[in-house]
Amino acid sequence: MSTIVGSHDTEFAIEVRSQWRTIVRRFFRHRLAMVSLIVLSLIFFASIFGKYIWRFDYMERDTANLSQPPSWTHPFGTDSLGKDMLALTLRGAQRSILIALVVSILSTTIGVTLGAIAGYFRGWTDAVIMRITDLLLTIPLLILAGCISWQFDGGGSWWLLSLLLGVLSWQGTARIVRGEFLALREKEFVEAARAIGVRDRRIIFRHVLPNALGPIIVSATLSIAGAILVETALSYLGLGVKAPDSSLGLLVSDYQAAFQTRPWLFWFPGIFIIVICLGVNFVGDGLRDAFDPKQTRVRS
Amino acid sequence: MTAFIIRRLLIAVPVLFLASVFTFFLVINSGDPLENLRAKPGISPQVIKNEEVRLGLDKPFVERYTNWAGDFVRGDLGTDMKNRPVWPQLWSAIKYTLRLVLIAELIAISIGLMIGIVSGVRQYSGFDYSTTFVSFLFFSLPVFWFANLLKVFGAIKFNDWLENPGISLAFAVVITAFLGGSFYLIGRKRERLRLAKPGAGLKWGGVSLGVTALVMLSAFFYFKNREYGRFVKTLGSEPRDLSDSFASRLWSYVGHGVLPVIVLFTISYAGYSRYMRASMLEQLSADHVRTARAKGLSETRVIMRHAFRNALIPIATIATLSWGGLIAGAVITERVFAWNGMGDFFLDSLSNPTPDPNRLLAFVMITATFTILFNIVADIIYAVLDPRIRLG
Amino acid sequence: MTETLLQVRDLAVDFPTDDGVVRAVRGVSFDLRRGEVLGIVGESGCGKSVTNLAIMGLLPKTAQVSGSVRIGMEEIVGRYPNEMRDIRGKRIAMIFQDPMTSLNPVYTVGWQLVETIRAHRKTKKAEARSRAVDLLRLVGIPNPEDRFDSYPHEFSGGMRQRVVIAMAIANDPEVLIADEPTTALDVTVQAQILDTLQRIRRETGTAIIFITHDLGVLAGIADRLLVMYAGRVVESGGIEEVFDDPQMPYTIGLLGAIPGEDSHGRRLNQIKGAPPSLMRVQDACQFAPRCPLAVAACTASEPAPVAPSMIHGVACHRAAEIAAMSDKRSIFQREEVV
Repeated sequence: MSTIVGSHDTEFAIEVRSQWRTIVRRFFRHRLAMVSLIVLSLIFFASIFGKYIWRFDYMERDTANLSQPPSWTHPFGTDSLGKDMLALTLRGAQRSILIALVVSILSTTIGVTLGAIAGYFRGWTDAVIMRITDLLLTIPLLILAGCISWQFDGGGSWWLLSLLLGVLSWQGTARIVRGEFLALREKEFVEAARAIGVRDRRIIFRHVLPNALGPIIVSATLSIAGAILVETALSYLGLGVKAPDSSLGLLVSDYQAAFQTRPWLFWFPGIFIIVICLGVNFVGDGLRDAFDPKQTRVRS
Repeated sequence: MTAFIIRRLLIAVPVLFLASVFTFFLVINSGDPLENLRAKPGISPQVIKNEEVRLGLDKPFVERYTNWAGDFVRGDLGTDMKNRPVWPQLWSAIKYTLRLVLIAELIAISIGLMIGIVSGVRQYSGFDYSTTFVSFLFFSLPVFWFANLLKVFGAIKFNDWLENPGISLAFAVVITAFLGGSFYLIGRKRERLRLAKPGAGLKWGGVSLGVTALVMLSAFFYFKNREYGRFVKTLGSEPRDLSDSFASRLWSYVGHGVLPVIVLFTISYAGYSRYMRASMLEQLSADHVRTARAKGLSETRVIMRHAFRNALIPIATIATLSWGGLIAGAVITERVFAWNGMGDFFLDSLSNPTPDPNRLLAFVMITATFTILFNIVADIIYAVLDPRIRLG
Repeated sequence: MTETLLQVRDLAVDFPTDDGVVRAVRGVSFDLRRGEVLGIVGESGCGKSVTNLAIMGLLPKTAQVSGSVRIGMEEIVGRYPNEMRDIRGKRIAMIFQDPMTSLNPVYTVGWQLVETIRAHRKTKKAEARSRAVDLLRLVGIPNPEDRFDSYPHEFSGGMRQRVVIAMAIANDPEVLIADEPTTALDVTVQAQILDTLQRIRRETGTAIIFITHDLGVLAGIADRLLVMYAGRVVESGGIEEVFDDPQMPYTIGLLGAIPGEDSHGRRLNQIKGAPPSLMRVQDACQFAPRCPLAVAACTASEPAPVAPSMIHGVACHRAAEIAAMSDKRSIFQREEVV
């Protein structure tokens, strides 16, 4: 047996930039994503702490200012009862964002778990899970959720709605994660782990999952935008959040008749939905760019 | 091919079966259809009992399901709460919705693919950035809000203008300057890229300035003292008066359909343009496209015959995914524009005033069937586009 | 001296990236003469492929190319894509590394061949077809008439590479660039492809640039050799001169890594370390950090590039000393403890 002497390991030390730092750096350079992140955080905090900061409560009626267009006192104007539109919009946004976050977390958890199991174990497990996915894909989410949620009692059931939407909207994530797992399970490092007798659960969570994190984070982010759109649509149709609770969709539905006479009542809730979704989509896009090793943006 | 279709249809049977059991379970548990009847004063228990028997409410779940499924297999969708057969109602709804959805989808595919190709070829150009932004905007657009917006600006205000048409001089000047300026810039850019002869910028800018000025000027005089009816309709799905001439009826159909089609277009356009762009980018960096360039083919041929042709393959699967979104979009759009399509049918069945089991079931089953059919069609298109896939 | 077909002078290619400018090719010069086979060898990332893509004008738009590439009297650098069409596929053709991906999967091989022929000649479809069949026969595809309508996926890797070669020679190019044409293939198939290339050269007289990282492949086919390292030519000369009398330590290391008759029972030499990053190139011999003979001068300045006029050119500060050494291979020998 021969051993090598005098090998200088230091020679091989190439400066390796940590992967995560590269990702963060790439994300920070995505200007639109950064702006979106800032705007989103502003909206998020405003919607949560708005009632402590803003001088009007969403229930409060400023009877001296009925149906006022936007002004310094009421930047978003008031409705015919004198309610402050900014307070109302923030309150609606709070519900919509909360629901979207719960839906995203729930659907990502379910989707990742099922997708990982299907992609890792393949065979009949995969077949069963994928058939369930197909089944849920044959009926549009809005229809499915509508069938179930229309009978919820008004008020306090926003969490029921989030639960429902979360349980029904994991198919996309599951498919993505399954695809990643199918590809990753063939990689040498997984085979190596299996060869030295690492248990399946540990391989899934410690070896494969971290490598599939990029697409998962991206799809979780984008699912927030999808959830907001579905929830507001359901609420608009009267199948989601109901009064006295509030949602951006409900606000649009409540004030759509006033568009011609008091347009501000209609504009602001809608623009809030767009800004939130657009922001989430841009952040998702920034994350996708940051995670995608193939992408090195070069501008000529 | 036939074998493939038959096999796919056979696979569809268990999926439809499961979907029906699932929906049946959902619908059965979505409230008491006789709630209102029971609440009415002076209704004898016998009447309620009769209704329960008619609707099968007195029977256990399995029996109710098998009764329903037996009828369904024989093509009988049953009767609704008011004892009217479901199928004729649903069929008339399907016609409206399919017309709406298919037209919107066709427009979305053609425009989406075109924009996708160009923004893929001109990655990171001004054109790419702006179309990307538009796509993201469409992705983020709440359908119900946008539909209402269109109703006011695309219909009411536009009709107001049509009733008293005319363009202001300032408007004409701004449009002329804008078009002339942008053509000048495009010409300059192509000049720099050596795609156009020197001086193209000034020439193109000047020509478009002249043409636009001419058009605007004639429009200015043409629209003076003219009057049109309120062309764009905000409510209803077809002309009320069927005695008119064919042309005017057709025109009326267009007036009714244009806004809903625009709304549905925004739903699926963004997906097509984004996926087409991504697919084009992938193909443009593929080895075989490099080979095509190395062969000395023209850039147009490289892009259309090699990159685009191959980029189309994955798009076939996207088409089926957008169906669910379109149906959901149609539900909302039809509500806003008061069309009597499937969306209306669905919302009606849900709460009129209590859920109507047979109508809901019929609706879900038809939607699921369409989804499955579209999936099969997509698979066939996929196989036609890609010689590596063999059906059978 | 025979006529120079292709003249490359001070070719440089820069790629601007997010992290800085990658200087992939830094002043490459060489000549290619009629009927000659020029081997270009080097590790991956040394700029050999980029050099040839620059000659074809196939680099991405972001690449910044400077210097000069002339085919006959025509300058290629600075041309716009649509001005390259008369040259690509007609005067210079290219064979790519991976035959599995370099054909379009959705068209038959016959269609792709006919397309190539008709891109440069106004011929009727039937004529182009018979020419295509002849080409398939020339590159050694059995039953070319029948295989004309097959899709690429119905061919094996070696057969596909033959199709790619047929496409490359379809318009009798003066120069054929083969970019690692055998790397993705089995060893037995490699030999067949090399055979085919040899035959084509004999029968058509086309000059070939043969890019590879495998010196062994070149031994039987190339007339002259360019050794590239870190975006530069570090040694050039006739194949025998370079093989028998390498003067750049990098070449010596490469040659030492090939098992030979005398290497039986001995550990093969290896060059330690990895090629340098081409992001921040310093004015020093790029090979110095890995070179066992490096001295202070090597890190002080970069040796002058190899001039194409030299019969055997070396870019090394210590070339003269190395030329005088008797056992060159020993410079990479490892101390072994048995």
